[in-house]
Amino acid sequence: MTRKINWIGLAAGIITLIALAISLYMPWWQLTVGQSLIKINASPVNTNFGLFGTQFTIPLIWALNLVTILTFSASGIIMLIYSLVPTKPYAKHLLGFSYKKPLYSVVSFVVVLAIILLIAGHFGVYLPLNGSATVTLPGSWTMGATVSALVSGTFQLPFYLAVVATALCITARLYHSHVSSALSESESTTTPPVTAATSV
Amino acid sequence: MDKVKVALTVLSIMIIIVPLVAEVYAYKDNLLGLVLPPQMKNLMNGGGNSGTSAGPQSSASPSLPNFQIPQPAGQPKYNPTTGAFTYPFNFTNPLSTEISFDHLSAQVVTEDGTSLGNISMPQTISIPPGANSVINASGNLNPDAVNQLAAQNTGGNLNIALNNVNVDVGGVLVHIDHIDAGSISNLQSLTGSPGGT
Repeated sequence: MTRKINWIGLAAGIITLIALAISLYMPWWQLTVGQSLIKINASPVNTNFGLFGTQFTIPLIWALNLVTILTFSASGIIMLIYSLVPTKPYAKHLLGFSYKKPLYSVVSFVVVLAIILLIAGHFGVYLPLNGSATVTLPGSWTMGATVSALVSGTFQLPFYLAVVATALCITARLYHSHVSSALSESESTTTPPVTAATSV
Repeated sequence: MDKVKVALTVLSIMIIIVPLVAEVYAYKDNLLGLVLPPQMKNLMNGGGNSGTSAGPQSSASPSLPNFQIPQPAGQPKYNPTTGAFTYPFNFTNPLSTEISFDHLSAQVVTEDGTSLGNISMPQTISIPPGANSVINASGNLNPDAVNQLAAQNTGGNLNIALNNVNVDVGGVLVHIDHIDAGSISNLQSLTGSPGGT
């Protein structure tokens, strides 16, 4: 009897853990103002700010980052466990726990980022989501001087890896039905028909 | 089967609750510090020394700087023989990294707006972290305009200003329409002898 493995789930688990490991060192999205006078490294895993050469994080954001690190870790590990035992009765619970987490992280990150940029735009500072733009500060902030700077916003490798992990997790969920139904079919074809016992 | 479901639910809750509760507990005496680290407080207060701090918010550099655009430093210098004009600016790099001062240009005008010439910075200057540097913007004034003003102006001093000042420092472009730039002293004597200020 061959062991059933959800190969897509296995790939999803591995990519999720790789995305997490890389995200610890690289941001998902980076905003740079001028020659790194202001640098914002944003990620659900590691968000920090560099203002005029000083690096710092906000403790509450740090705690939320820790939540995401644990969530991603659990999601990746449980997805790996599920992938190896997709036909067990509890497999669906493992899958249900693990496949949604990267999706939630990616979607909530993009939504929060968009909201922050919209709020900045409301105050007259239009920051680029992906690309470069010359941003001019409102005159009321600069006491008559016109202050402008080249601002670059870029999504980085870990973000794209997280998107791939999310896509693979969703695909693994869809593929689970295929694995389950294939198992049911094979069980029904290999199970000998029940016949009435005959006695001589 | 139900045990797995319950365990996963508990795990989900613990993953969210434990770090947040732990962080709030760590800051129970200073809840504002959860969203406002010392470095940000200093920035909002206009810079200064924040001191070092432990924990996740600790900084690579202990202080946030006062970041100021270049300020005029001293009086302009004019050489009537060559027409060379120099104007010093003072700039302190408040960063913990080197910063480049890439561009400075301005139009030199009299009080009534008569153009005397343009000045600019001859080359890019790199300023080490924390260092103060005097940046000399230089150019040539129109000798005819200066002589004419000297003939008209018997008071001796010529008040000048800088119009359309453009500065590029650290990738940030600053444009200032007008700066009062002091005076060229003893103008009468300058028309005939070099080396005045």
